[in-house]
Amino acid sequence: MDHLHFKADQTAAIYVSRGLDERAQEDFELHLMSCSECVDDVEAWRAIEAHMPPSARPHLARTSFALGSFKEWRLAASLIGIGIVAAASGWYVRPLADPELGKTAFFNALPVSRGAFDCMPLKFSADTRWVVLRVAGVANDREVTALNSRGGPLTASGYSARRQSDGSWILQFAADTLSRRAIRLESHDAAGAVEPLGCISAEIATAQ
Amino acid sequence: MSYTERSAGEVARGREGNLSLVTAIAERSEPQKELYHKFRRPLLQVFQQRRIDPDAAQDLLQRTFLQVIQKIRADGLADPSNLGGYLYRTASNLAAKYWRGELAHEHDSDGDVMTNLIDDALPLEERIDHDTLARSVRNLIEELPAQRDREVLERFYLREESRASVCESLHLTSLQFNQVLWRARRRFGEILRKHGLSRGGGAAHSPKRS
Repeated sequence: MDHLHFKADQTAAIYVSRGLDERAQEDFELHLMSCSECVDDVEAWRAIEAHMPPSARPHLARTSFALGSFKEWRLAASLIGIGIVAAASGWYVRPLADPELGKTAFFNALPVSRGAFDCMPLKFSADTRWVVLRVAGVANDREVTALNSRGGPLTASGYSARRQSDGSWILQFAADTLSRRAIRLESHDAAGAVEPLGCISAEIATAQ
Repeated sequence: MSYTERSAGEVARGREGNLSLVTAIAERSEPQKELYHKFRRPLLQVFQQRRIDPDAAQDLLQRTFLQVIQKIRADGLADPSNLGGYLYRTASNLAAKYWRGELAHEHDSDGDVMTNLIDDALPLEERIDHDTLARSVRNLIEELPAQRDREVLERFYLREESRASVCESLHLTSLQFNQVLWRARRRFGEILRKHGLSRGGGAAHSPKRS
């Protein structure tokens, strides 16, 4: 795709919102290497995204437990972190024999210190439809919630969360929801006190 | 000159420039600053897109340049005119290694070069202070002529809805959606120019670097 098409399609804006597929993103990033005008556009859209003032309208209002700033959240997250049970080399995905669940990827998250990373990619194949994340170590009086990277609530169709009998939480995401955005995880108690649990995003595995 | 012609001409000039730059690097004739000047901003975007924090991105940027310079001096590049592509692949690989935990997270920045960067090598966030940038974005949102335009931006960037979802709920065609973004980008460029920023101003007419 040439420069004219990138401009006409507002590719820079879509890129910043992480709305491009893998191939389109690669094409655009290669174009960026030789196009200062498109780099200008990307920087401008990043600034708009980063500094977008919160809307006062009710449907955009954040929930009370998500009012902390993202920077504060990131700092705390770097201290707490999320560990996902893994083999030595990284994250593990357990493929399922049941064909009904063959399009589901399972991950297990534990509250262990992992150092200062911001967002952990979960690797799953492109044909995955659902991603299930188990979050252990959450206090009984707290509920786990998933938010978009700006602290806004995810739509109900994008994920569900429930507590299991062992006290852990099961979060189920539509793979599409996860592949477009980073997802922040938080727990909060009845008083609204927030505890950050980390950040997850998708990393689509390519066929070997 | 039309947009397409200008773009094609720039591509040709860019490839010629890459050839000269690779030759200069191979001959050790102080190429490093020009390499930074030309590729620092796009490479930082590549790292930012992969959610790598700014400090780590600076470290990866250094590693990217270092690897490519060493490669050029040791083996040369198969296609020197595609220097940008080679830098991009190197940066992408380093970003992947970073997330896999295969890189030591040490920050090996070249202070001398980094502190002497001229303005053209600095991304927008480094050229304008945080408060001014935030105020500019607030101005943009306030000055957008239509409520629908504001809602598109808010839903796209605050609520992180997909383009398809925003278009569907607001009954917008792709063209209308793109027009909203184009208007917003143009207006933001005008606001930035008011703050004395000559680069990155307009959506289609931003001043070009030489």
